[in-house]
Amino acid sequence: MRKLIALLLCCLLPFGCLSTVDVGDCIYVLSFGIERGETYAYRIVLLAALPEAGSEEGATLKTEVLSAEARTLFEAIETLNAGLPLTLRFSRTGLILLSEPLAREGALKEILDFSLGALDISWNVRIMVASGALSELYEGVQSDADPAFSKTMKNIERLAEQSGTIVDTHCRTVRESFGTDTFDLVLPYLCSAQEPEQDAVGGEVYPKIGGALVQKSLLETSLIGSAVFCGDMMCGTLSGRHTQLVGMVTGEFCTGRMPFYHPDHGMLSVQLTARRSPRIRFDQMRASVTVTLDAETEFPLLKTEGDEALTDWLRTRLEAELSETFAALQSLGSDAMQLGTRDVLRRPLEREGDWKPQYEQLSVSFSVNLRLLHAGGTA
Amino acid sequence: MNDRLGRFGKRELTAVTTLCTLLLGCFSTDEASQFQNGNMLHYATAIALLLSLGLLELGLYALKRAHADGLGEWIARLPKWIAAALSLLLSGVLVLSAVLPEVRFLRAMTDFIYIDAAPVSIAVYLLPCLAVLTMLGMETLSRTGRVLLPITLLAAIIGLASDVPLYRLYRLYPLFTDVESLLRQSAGALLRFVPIVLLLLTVARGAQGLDFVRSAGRTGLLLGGAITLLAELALGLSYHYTELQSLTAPLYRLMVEIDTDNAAIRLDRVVLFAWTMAGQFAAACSVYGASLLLVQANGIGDVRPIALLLSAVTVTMALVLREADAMGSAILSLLHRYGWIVATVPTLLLFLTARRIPCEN
Repeated sequence: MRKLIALLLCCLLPFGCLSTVDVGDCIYVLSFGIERGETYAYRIVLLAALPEAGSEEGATLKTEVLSAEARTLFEAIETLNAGLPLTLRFSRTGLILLSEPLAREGALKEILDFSLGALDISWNVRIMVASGALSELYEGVQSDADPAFSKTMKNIERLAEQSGTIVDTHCRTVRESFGTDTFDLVLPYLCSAQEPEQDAVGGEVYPKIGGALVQKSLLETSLIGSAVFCGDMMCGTLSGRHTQLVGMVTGEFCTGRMPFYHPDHGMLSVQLTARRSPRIRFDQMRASVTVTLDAETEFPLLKTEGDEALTDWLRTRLEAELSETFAALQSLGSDAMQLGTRDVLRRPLEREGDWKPQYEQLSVSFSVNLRLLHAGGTA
Repeated sequence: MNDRLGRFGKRELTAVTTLCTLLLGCFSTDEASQFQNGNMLHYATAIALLLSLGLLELGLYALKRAHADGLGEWIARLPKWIAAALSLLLSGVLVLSAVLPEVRFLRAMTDFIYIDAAPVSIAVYLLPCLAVLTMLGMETLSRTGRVLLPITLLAAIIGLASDVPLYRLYRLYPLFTDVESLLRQSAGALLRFVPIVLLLLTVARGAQGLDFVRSAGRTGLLLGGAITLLAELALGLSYHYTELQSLTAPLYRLMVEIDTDNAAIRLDRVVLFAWTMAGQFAAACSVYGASLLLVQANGIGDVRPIALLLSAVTVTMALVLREADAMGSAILSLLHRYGWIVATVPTLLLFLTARRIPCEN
């Protein structure tokens, strides 16, 4: 019997792999974007990784921006495949860009519905909204410092965690937002434009996340805040500062620096850190949100005024800005602060589906528990 | 009679029961109907587990009263045609309990790993694995189970723990929809656990007595059931019920959809293969149980040809259901909806009429 089993097992060995695909026969698409075409309905733009000509296999990568226009996305991909010496592979795609006009038309859901399964794209792919021509944006992210684009992706994750000025949104969150009626999406927003513009909340204009202006950088394209959605349609933008404020309510904000202009002390740079998760309580059509933060400032001169006064001033400013941000989002019909997910908790036996009409009538008050730390981290 | 039953201890039988409960519990659900109105899967699983424990106790009591060493031997005392029909029916239930997870693993293999391969190319590799394991018998299976159990538990822990930062309570809501749905889902969930009770009673002669079977069965069902419940809760905290309706291989998706690029995301395929190995093992146990029941109840001399035949039937049915798309989905849906009746009612009737079956003096 043992000999028979051994013989059977040996018979299986010659079969080998079911099929083989040489790594050198593929072009791996690191990112792709979709925008409206000039001649046809869509233009798909790819950032693809190619091995450097003349180098050892896999030793050096260079990125190329490829694009094609077609009536459908699959036509565009087939057009590209026909004109390339190697096969396009999407299994390493880490980022999908959607142009702002398409995002405002509500095309994101449709694009994700068929592209993920059909193109074998990883489910933890990042999704972003792009302002401007995608070819220019992709040329702006090409850098010798990061030919494989992987460090840029890692930096996005780090920036979201350490500054809170952008969100790091993956396909899973997007799918959940479209499939349920409990919250609206906030996606990273990037461009290569230098002109300042206001976001949905208003106030200061901003060319970049922190309100600063990039003079020279390795990358010509950068993240400038977030795009907010109402359902599956983009309805506005938020600056980095307002993205931080939204994150404080959703619980995604960990730490980040915010500038405040004090009438007596000039510009204050305050490092805010979330001390615990925000608390949200509902009472009929009213909600109260309590955000708990540590604030760290490195201005010893402020000690003459006293911590209490400064704490009160900061708290009042933050509460006012949170209210302004919520009002702007409510007017857009976007529950980017994810209050619907908390509303579900107070109706444990009911099915959702009627949240949006209630959200439009909701009145929300914000309170901030602030603990002021000075340099050295002690209160 | 060459029944390849052998002898095995309590630990081996506990490992077998735990693995079978875990695999059948996690990979035999029907998502399309389970999550239509909400997510009550964990309640249904808990109720079905308790009912199965009760059925195990009833079965052991019936065997003890009849002075029978196993279910097959006991059925053999019935009139020939009743024994044949009953053994076929209960063997069919055990084979079905092997088919349902095989369909899932076949789908996972073709959808996520071997994307360009036809399902039949994968099934060709599943068949010898299942057939060889089944023909080797229960003693080999029990010892293999003891080795596989820690690996499978580790894979489960890695899979569930990797997604902890993304668990959200609101995704479980609504917590409860209606009693009728709960009862229907609980009844349907019996199809996952009643075959394990049948398996335990069938291989009871190989254990060191019915008390060991009781002890191993309880421990295995409770331990495997606890991990199954944890997995179902994890799924409920990760995905809304509207997403779970159409999600293929949700436990695998838990691992590949984590947001950060950490070590766990590199282990997704390793974990999937650990699950697949355990899935083949659980299927082999069910198929062996079905074969043993048939040979014991019908006086067949050797279990190996029946084991080979039923292994081929299992893989073929899994392949057909995988390939048949709409019809396959409809058949699967029917099996999930009414299979519990076929599994539970004859079993219950058999145990309840224990007094009427002649005892061996």
